[in-house]
Amino acid sequence: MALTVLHTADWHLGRRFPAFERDQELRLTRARLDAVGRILDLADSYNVDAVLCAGDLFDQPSPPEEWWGGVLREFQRRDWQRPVVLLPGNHDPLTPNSLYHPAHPFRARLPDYVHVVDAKGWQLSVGENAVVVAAPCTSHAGQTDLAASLPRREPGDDRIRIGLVHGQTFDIEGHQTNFPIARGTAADCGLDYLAIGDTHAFRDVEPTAAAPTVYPGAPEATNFGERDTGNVAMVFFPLDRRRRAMVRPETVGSWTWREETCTSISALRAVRADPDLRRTVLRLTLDMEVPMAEYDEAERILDELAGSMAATPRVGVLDVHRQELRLATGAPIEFDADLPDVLKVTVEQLRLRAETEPELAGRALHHLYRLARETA
Amino acid sequence: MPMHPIHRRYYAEDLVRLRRAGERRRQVASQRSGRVDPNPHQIDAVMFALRRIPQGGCILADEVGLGKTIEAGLVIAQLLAEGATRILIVLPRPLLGQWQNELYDLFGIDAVEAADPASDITADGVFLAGREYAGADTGFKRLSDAPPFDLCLIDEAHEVFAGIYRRFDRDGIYDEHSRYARTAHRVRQIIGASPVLLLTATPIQNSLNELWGLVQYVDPTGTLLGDRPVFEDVFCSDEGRGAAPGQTEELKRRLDAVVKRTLRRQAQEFLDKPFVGRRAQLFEYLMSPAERALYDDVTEYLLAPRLYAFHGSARQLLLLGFHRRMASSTAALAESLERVAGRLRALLGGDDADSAASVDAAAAFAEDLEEDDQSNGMATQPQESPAENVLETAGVREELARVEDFVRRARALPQDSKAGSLVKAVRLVMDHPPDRRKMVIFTESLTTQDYLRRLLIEQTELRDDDVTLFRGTNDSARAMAALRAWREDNQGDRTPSPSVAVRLALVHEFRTRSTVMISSEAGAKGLNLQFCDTVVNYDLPWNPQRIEQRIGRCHRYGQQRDVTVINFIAKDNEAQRLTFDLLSTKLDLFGDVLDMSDVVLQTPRSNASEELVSALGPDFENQLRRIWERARSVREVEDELRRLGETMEERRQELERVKKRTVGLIESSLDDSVRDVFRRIQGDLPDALATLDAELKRVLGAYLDALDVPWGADERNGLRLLHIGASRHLPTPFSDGASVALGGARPAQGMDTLHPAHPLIKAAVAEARQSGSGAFRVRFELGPDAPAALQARRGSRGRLALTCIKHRGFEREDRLCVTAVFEDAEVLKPAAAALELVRQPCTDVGPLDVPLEVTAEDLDEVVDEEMFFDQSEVAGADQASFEATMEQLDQYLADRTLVLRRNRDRHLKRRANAERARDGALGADNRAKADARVRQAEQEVERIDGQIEELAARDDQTYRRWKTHAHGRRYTAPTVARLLTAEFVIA
Repeated sequence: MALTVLHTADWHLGRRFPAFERDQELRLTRARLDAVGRILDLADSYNVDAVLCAGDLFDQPSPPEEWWGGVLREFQRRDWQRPVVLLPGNHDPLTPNSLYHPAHPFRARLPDYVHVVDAKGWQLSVGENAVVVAAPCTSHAGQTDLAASLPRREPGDDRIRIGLVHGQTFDIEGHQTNFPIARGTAADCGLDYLAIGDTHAFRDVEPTAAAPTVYPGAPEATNFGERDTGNVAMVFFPLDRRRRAMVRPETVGSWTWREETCTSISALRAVRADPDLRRTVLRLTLDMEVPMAEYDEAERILDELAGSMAATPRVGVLDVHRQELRLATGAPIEFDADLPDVLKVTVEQLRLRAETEPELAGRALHHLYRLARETA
Repeated sequence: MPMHPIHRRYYAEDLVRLRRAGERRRQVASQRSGRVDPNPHQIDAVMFALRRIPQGGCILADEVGLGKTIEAGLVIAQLLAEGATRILIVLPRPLLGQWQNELYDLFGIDAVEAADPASDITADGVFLAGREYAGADTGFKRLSDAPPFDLCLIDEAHEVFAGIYRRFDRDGIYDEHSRYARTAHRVRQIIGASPVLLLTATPIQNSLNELWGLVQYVDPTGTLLGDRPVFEDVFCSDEGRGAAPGQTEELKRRLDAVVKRTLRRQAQEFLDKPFVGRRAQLFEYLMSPAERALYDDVTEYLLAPRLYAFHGSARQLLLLGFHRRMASSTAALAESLERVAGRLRALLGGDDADSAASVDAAAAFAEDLEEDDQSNGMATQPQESPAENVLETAGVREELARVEDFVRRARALPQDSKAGSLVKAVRLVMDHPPDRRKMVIFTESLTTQDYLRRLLIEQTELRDDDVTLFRGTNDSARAMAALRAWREDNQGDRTPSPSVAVRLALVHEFRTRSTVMISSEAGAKGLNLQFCDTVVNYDLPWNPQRIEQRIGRCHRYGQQRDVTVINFIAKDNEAQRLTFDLLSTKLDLFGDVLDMSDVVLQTPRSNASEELVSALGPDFENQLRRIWERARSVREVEDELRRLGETMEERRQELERVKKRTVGLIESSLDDSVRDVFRRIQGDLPDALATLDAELKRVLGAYLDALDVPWGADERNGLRLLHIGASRHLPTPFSDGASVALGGARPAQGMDTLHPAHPLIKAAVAEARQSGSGAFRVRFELGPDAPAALQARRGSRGRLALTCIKHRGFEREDRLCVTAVFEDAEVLKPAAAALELVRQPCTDVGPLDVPLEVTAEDLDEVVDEEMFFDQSEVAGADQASFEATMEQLDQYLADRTLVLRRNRDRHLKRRANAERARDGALGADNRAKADARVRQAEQEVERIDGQIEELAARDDQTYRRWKTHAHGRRYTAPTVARLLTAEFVIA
């Protein structure tokens, strides 16, 4: 029988998103936990032989129980025989106070089918035809090439050999690396597949190499600007060893992170017209100078997007930067004819004042205009 | 040479495999199974429904006149072709015949009436159940005891079923024992977990709660709009008459998931046949002094508070029946009077069967008016307690004398002015060009029907053959002759039930041979008379829905011309005129109303008569009954009718207000993008249909060749035909030979169009499965068009497998997969090349001299690999549905949280008020009371905070249940069926 493996990494459970309001932060952190359930269900549906988790499953070595408890429940409600391998990464390294430590309740309560990579030279047979070799991170930072430290294939061992480490490949020139992984390591170690974690985008690092080295990426994005997130890697190993292991990303994430800068009201209207923002983290920057009517419209749109006690939000998580939303103070303001007399007098006075102090009087007129409208 | 079994199997499986709702092939397959060329908007609706059905169903809410029945028929036909066996259609009983006819006529589906004791509703079939039957004890028991249905369809769903919301209590809990909406409740129980299609043109009439109620049928999770209190709090304003400010778009977005609605203006440009108007011509006649006097005297008699003839348990039935027959014709009046006189005589004769006599008379009226429908009939009237012995012989004698005088006067009337007016109207229509002379005359009374037939034959140029009579029971010699003629003209394999057949036969007679159809009320219940454009209301039913149904026989999808509705009013009969005015001005039933010389008397304010009739009709009828039952003078009747006009105007305005506020919720304002979708469908269709037809021909041809049955193809009158020779191996009724059409919605009379569920195709598929399974050993001779990947492999040997991968996620899909592995362990790639391999010509070969190096286990591995990649492709398609479901569940919690937060705010305000009261309170008692209020508010806030926390942690049973359900569907592993394997050599 051929072998199939689900390879995932970088869950970053417990990551905080302090830039957002509490409710919104909660949605994002919970989305991470949801992804775990999806990943394990996916493994079931493909009937994979093993699930490999290549580090940074938690955002810190010892996260609150809320996070590891959730993962534990996901494991406990499955009565599996297929192994799940958890690898400590640089965010959740194997340290004495880590949740991977045998004394930690998380580790202690893990079902038998869940294995923790807790030593160099760690190995696990998957069926009769495959073996996983792995090395954990034991600190937040390091310059050790953990892949290079993996045990080499013994002569005569023709099992499928899968490496599992956490670190960064050397493929970005001048980039400071943490736990570097050298090119060609997979081949050097006699691996058929090197499962790695750290980068949040899905990448087959060396597509032409005989043995793939793959980042599955984060199953849910963790920040703006991340690309190709939201996947796990599904890996198929043909029994015919001459053929390269086949890898394809499969979507498990549901959130999109998007940055948008609007320099005109029409751009903002276009954002509003997008019907599909419920699972979007939207950072919206307004950089425009608009007349009063459009200023009001911009505010209405922002209210709609954000939602309120009266209306359902249009955007999943909204982060608005509106410092550069400016009123075009020079534009004439038309007040309603039925303005109370006292206000009419005030308007006249402000218009006179505008000849000497245009900025100040202009602002005052705008405030008055808005107050009058709200009252009406 | 017959096609190789490998090819036969492959092409047969590819033809019938399950496809996704979005695939054109699935859409055109349903189209081919019907004798109908659907319009793009209908195909769009069918796609929507097929996609929604696995998730619970949907609401098809096209504007009136866009052919929702055709959409539903296409869905039913497609599901039946894909293996569904039991379908239930719940509908207003008057529409039963229409459904039966259309399903048979357009889709060849012989639907049976569930209420018929001869129907076995536990067996396979398409069952039609009047909603009254489904809601009554007997029907409910039979239907709910029956095995589950693959689909339940509810027509005119807004009328009874939208009221289901009233069974949900203030906390949103469904009350099993509620006294409201019993029929809706029972039908909901009958439906159980089956998917549901709701058909309605007006999902919102009075309140958004109705819409919420309808959504409960098609959203089994109950999470789309939340429970009723949450829905009201989050989405409604003004007690449900409008959407809450700022929530319109959100509500619309949610409804988009389950409601499909096309507007006439959006579909117009794609219709072959344009929408036509209706106009009414009013024929006013003057009663002769004798007629007038008789009418006045009888009316006065009927309005008397105490009548011996109408005393007893059936008083109301008799009175109302009498009124209706009196309005029908003098012939019906005379016969009614005879009945009444007979009843009085029975009373005088000391007949102690007082109530029996009264019931007999009532039954006679009912028979004449063909009242067998409890919902519309007189039998629903409350029964009075049996009469006591209050007979006063003298009084009865006096009354009898009076009635006998009426009878004499009625019989002696020298002329019938209304009938004279009809003769004029008929002559006018007969002056039309020959293709516009057909007219259908409706009357409520069978007596009138016979009378009119005689009248027209005697007083116009119409001969006996020119007049078709249609009534509830059509067992006359003429009807039987029409049936024989129809059978001769329709020699097909279709044999509908006798009642459907005779209906179709009489319509056929009217279409092809006669000029005038005189139809009783039963005729209004199901005939499609689009070929006729004149409707005559010889009498007007009190129920406006019946009038709408009459007009709707001709003014319907497919009508090419404006429809003229002819009505008769007696001049100086104010009550009759007032009633007609109400129908035309408040219900807009007739379009423009013209007098005999084409002067417009009245123009409707809207073109939505169907909606108005549906909303206001039932009450209108009840009010008419009430007025005629209670009034004691004609003047009183007239005053009441005027008041009714005012009430109806108010209700109409309220309806229009609600409509204005809610219409945007279910309608797309983006007409252009809607039309773009229709345009794409329209553009794709011809190619998709041509491909399907070619594949049908290939599969059938291969089958016939395999059986050695001679066959040939030709084209006649633009129709492509396959002529099949006789063979005992063919399924009946094709064993004697037959011709079938390839494509075309309307082949020659009695000829089938091939479609994937056609008996011949089914037989071909069964044969292909039988002969094309197991292991083969073949040599492929590559054709000139074989792809390079195959050309490069000439001389290679290997193994192949044909598998069917069955995905059962959010949608059901079967995918065919060919995997081939060569002796050098290379797998034939890409997948398209592997599919091409099994399409190449091949022949069986004997055992190979040198055994293959590639083993069956190697092939297994490659099949696993194919499945792995195939699964990944399908996963992409299901992911979107999964995400939508999960988002719906999240939103369900968010709605509830919002409601809790609003509550919390209210309690915080209460607390602040109580604190102020406490601070300003004088005296210990007052302070203590205020303090208690503060504590109470605090406790409430605390309790709500706890609930909010629970929801934030998604600690909610409904959420968890449906989340697990969604995960189950998204992550269901496919199953694999190995169809055949082969060792092969590429020559």
